[in-house]
Amino acid sequence: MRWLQGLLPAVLVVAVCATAATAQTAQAPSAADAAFAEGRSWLAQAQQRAQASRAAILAANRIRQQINALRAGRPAAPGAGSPSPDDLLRELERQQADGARWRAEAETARERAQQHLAEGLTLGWAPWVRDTQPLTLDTDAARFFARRAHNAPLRSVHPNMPDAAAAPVDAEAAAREMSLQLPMLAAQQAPPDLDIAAFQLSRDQHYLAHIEVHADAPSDLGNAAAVPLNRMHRWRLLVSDLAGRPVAGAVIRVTGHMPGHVHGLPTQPRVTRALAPGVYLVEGLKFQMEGWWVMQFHIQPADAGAPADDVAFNLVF
Amino acid sequence: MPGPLPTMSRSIWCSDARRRVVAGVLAAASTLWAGALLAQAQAQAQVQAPSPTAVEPDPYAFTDADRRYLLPFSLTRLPPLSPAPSNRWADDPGAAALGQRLFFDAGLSAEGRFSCASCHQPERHFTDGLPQGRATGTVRRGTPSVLGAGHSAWLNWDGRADSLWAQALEPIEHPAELATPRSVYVARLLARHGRALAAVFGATPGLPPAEALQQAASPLGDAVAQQRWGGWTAAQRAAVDRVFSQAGKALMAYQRRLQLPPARFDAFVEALGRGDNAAMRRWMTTDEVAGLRLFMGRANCVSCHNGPQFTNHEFHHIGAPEADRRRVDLGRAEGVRALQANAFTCLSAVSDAAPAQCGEMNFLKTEGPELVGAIKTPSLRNVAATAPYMHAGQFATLAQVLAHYNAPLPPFYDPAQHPSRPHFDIAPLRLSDTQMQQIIAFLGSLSSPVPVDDPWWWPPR
Repeated sequence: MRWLQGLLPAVLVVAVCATAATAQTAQAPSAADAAFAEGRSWLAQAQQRAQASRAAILAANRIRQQINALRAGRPAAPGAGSPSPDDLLRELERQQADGARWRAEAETARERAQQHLAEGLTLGWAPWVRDTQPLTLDTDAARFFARRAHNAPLRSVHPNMPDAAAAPVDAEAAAREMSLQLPMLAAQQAPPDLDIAAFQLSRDQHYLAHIEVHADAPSDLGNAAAVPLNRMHRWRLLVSDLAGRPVAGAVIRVTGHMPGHVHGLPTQPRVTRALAPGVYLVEGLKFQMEGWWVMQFHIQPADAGAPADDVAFNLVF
Repeated sequence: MPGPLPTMSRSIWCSDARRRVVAGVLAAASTLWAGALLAQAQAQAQVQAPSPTAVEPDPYAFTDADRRYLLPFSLTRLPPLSPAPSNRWADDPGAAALGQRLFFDAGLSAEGRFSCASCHQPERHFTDGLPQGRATGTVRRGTPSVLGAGHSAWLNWDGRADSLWAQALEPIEHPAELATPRSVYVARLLARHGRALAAVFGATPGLPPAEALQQAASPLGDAVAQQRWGGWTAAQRAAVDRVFSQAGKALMAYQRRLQLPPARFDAFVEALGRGDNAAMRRWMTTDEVAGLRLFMGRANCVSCHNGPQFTNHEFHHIGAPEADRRRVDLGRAEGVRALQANAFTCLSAVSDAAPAQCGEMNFLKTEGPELVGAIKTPSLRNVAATAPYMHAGQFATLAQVLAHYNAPLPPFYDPAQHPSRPHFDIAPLRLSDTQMQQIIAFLGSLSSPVPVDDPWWWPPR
């Protein structure tokens, strides 16, 4: 059983290389198609590893139950040999280690998949993908005030609640050598390893989506590709399937919120029209403060047979 | 890649090891707890009784970073007014001069007793000193100042108007305010200011006959007034609406001219910018500076009250007590409904903007728990001179306001009235009495003198 699981990734790589080779001989694919194919193969690997990881963790759980039964002095299941506790412990550790390793590998493979798919979209949809970087905030005077966290994610003011206002002091401000002590409300900071990429796979991995700021013309703003603070602006939302084909005519619902706060967006943005198949114009976007925002798009394809899916983007301003 | 898994004890039956671990964890926890208690005690000691031997830092000593932080609060940093595409005359001097006459003209109201200035009194920084506005009747909420109102995207406590011109029209017809039907107001406007109106806006053809306008007719009035209004042709109604909106547009042009003179705080910040310590000491006392530090820091007031106007122009629920629990104030949730029903928005027929220019209305947020009971952050300019406080004058003094922020009660919630539990945007400050006094002292430095020489502030000659 275990040796089989151990072999799985190797078998997979061979299989993937074989398919890639066949595809190449059959018809020279475009660079974009190749990138999408590469992305899909990484995604398949990610899924396989995730399955292997789940299997290992389930196996570990079963061993843990056996150990518990032994410790409680219950007899082993009939028919089974009686493995020594040390053997069981070794096996438990192995399964746990494998589970963890495969889970990490699955995550790495998913990241790779997303990178290749993003590359495919960038190459294949060149006129629409101009900014491949995570969205950034344009700097202007108003930004200065927007850094202040303005509300507390709590509904109770019971004395047992943490004193949000008293502690922690803005470390950045201290570093800037301010004598003003600027408190910050905790739990409003984005985790440091948050995925803020502008290309994201949908939750059930049916679609790939990309967002970028849609500027009509080179503007006098310093950075036309940046999100302006507290001003209405527009995005392009690109949606493709995993073969790089546009998902056209979909009904898309836009929502957004700040995880550290109890509030959503100050406006109600929506998709107003399609600029091209799979290229949607999102209008009415406004972000009134710095911090961690999550933008979610619910994608309901026009084709009744195609599955609906959700895609989320983290933005850290 | 993950690091190696933690190694396990060779024998899971080794109870000694387990006991040791448990004991260790307990010891660590109790140490942490004791440490936390100690830290808390120290913090309390600091708040309650500063050590007499400790050298108090000079409150007037600000770093360069502090200076950069504080300078944008000066009135000199007020940004220019935003363009107003829905009012082509927003910056027209003739419209402003006409608007000034309308603002102070009680003869335009039905009873001839009230004008905008009845509640927006210049000598009181364009407020009235009352908990709830009072003219023909008493309204639900207090009279906000019009100073600096042109900087906000939404007008009124709940943002029920999307421009100053749209805002100006509602009190004219409101039965508790000017109580003047639309037709009557237009008739008087034409009779008293017709020439100036035509000079600014051009003539409006297609109005009903003058004698018809004398009688109350309005889509918002009583049954008779509504019936008369309905009896007019669509073109006549549109013409009345157009002239009515011109009054609002002139009033908006006027209000955009109102300038606030600098307060002591502004002089202080300018002195800080120059590094003129002597001038800083002249403009603000030690207590006021201590209050400034608390306002910007520990008390976190600045999180909403920021910028030169000390407001972020957004909607929040700070749990101010309901003025009337039988009819709770739904704040922004109600304002959004009113906006959707408002006949004078950026998207209306009398607006000068193309629909695409009305971004805020096109993408209006209409749903969300954070709208329930949320009230627009007021400017703190002249706050000490403009009691009472909150949107319905729930607090008579700044001390009561600070006491509320110091230990707020969560918002009143009545499932029968609220669509969802109101959002709550503040956390208790837990300041000492001295600290609260210092913040109140600081707020006093935000009062500007009433400019007796500024012709825009006073009735036109």
